[in-house]
Amino acid sequence: MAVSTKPVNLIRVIKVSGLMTLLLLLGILGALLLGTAEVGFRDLLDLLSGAEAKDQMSYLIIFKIRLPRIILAGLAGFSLSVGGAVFQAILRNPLAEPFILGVSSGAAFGAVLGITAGLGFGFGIPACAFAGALTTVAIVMMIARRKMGMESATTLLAGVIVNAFFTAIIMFFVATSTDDRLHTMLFWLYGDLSQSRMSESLVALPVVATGFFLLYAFARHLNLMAMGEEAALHMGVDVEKAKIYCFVAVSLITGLIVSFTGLIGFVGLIVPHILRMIIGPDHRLLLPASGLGGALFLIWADTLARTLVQPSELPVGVITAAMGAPFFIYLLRKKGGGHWH
Amino acid sequence: MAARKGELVGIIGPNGSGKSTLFKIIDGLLRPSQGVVYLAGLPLARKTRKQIAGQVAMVPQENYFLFPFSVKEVVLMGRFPHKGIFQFEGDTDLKIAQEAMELSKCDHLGDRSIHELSGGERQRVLIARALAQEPQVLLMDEPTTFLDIRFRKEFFELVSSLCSQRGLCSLVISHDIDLASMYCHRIIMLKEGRIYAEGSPTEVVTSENIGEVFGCPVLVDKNPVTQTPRVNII
Repeated sequence: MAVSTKPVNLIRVIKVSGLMTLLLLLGILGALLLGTAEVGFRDLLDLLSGAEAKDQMSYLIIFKIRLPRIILAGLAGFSLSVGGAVFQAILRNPLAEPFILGVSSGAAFGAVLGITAGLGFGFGIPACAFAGALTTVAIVMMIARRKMGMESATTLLAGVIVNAFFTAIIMFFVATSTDDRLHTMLFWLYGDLSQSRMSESLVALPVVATGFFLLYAFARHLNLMAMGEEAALHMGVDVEKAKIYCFVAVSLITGLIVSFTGLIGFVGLIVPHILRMIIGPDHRLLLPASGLGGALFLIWADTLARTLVQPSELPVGVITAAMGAPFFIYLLRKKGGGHWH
Repeated sequence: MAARKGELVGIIGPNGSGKSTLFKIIDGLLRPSQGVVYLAGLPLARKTRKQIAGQVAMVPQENYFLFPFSVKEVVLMGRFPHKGIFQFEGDTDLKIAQEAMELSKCDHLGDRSIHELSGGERQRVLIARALAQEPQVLLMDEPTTFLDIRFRKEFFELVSSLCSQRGLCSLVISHDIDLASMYCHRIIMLKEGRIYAEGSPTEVVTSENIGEVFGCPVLVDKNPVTQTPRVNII
């Protein structure tokens, strides 16, 4: 495990963020090149630099199909990853993340209600998703609190149950509705980025940025809370206030993303863990790194999803679940999944 | 009750007598149903969580070492009450943390991960973290529970010297009555949420008091070397 020998300072944050952003940009470039249709490297550079497109097809493929999809995947990966890191700190549970805790399905449920009620995709439906996510967080916290310590396996169990419950209701809605806008069952179960539009990303970007900024303000609080709520209180952290702000922020970005992409799981589990091993547990580094790493991760998971079984496509959640489930088991075995003293 | 600068006060009493609750009140986590808590002359109720943490530091019983923070990082967490929202730790903070680690005799562990440490070493790191808060009052809730005899003695020696050399006011909850009597200036004995006895160790730790409060027949004599009260279970 990596142990940092120097405390985190602004320079380190900038260096790490800069490096990860560079990797992300390279990853985006690579993802733009891959796909069912052939777009050469030269052509891509021409298109990106604003020069005349060699043919209309390439232009459409890059700017109307791949780029919107990649950007939304990036924003989704960013949000889910940051959400995972935050949940792990607050719940002191290394296996916590939006999907496993049921927060994503709560958001999905909210979105489905919003769609059924005829609300708009620009504001109404994401707002319902946000409400759904927040409600689920409250439920999970309530259940978790009952048992001794939130880091116990009970919290995860509660998440599984909540997941099952909301997914069942969503299935009911989808099965009994003829509304096109309700998406398919597959969308809600495993996510789908193939219908991504630039407008969705434009809505998502400011919300994700705001949510992240809010969470970053509590980065140090998260460090202290990871040492125990009582310990954090004694060090001066207003724990209840921190939890509320963080949960609202995570619900906001998770809810928004889920309403656009459906359920994509395990991103918040895998990415923060790997990054924590590389750069350490300080959230002032981990939050931006998880976010950027998550963006890269999901962009590439989605690239795999759309190229693995060409010309057909897999839902991206299948790829993340295929990676996430074994990873979950690996973590469970490695750390015992129980109390940590 | 009151405690002064440079005083090491031992809080003893049976389980459920309110010792931890007392600490939560002194630290401002709980509001007393009666009475007011004054810290350096000012009422506690008017202060924020952060302000209190800058004056009162506590090493709680329950600690989680979930993530592999280094010892230095853990001690620096104690600087929280003195930092602003986006403020990173500066040279002053590093110096204070270093001093705290030297006082607590864990500076040689600075770059190690807390995962690698023994119970006694972790205890010293937590004390250093509390000291990094630059408190005037140090509260410790049964800090010797996981420590062996040698570390228990070292712990009390450390706290005792912190009080006398740095003017720290320290309150320690302990089930180790002998050791508390050896090092504390005063002992406060609680029974069922009230102060049963208060005074010097010799005054408070008597066969009658222990027998009455703990419901366990004992004979209290004097430690032949230190001349402080020694509890013998009979």
